[in-house]
Amino acid sequence: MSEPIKVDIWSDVQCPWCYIGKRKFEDGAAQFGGDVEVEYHSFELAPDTPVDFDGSPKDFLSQRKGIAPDQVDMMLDRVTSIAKSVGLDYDYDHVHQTNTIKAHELLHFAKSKGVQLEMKEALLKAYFIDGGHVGRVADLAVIAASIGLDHDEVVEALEAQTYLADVKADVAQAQAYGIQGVPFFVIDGKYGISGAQEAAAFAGALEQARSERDAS
Amino acid sequence: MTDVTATPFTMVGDPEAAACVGDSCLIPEHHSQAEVNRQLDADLV
Repeated sequence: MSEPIKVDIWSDVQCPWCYIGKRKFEDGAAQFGGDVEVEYHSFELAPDTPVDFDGSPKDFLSQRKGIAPDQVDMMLDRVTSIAKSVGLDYDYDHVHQTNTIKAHELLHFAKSKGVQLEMKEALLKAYFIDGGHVGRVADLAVIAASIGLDHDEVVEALEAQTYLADVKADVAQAQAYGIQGVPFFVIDGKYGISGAQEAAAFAGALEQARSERDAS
Repeated sequence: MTDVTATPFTMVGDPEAAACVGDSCLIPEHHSQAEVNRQLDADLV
């Protein structure tokens, strides 16, 4: 039996295209039909955001980017509509803009326990759909416990910054690769796919990687 | 969109696909229109 095709994905928890891209990738992987091993890597879009940012994503975009509030509304409506097309009900009225460094540490903790994919899905769902807070240790521990991780062990690891170096290593690797935006997918260490592509793009790249393996 | 000129990978797919760069998550016009067209095709709009 052949080794699964490795897919490395750089992503941030509060990136709307990352959740949409995740669904499209999953669709593409299903179309491909072969064995795929996915590993998520950390990417911080706005590392200077306060954990308890006092405002909504609309406030954040207005203040940070100087975009007019009505234009922000239009942008969020559009991305919400596109999310809906892949089965995701984004609820921007209840999204808590925050710093995601602890969420990334939690993803590395979850990887050490063999449940990184479940953790990634739970964090994205908490942030975009359930109105959860993904910046505070206490909230993250509750989300982690919902997928079976030990609440107190999570708190201990996050407060001790046990996985901070792993997060920084991922970010440094992204910089070394020249990755400036997310989601970013690396298929079998050979093919790069930037953004929330259509499922067919992922399926095609996976098929290409498998063909090359079979030919070698 | 991502500037991928420095990546050691062969880039595949649509180079204009939607992505978040920095703290900005822009929506390419053609991407948005493609989604609307798809929804129109599916009688969702």
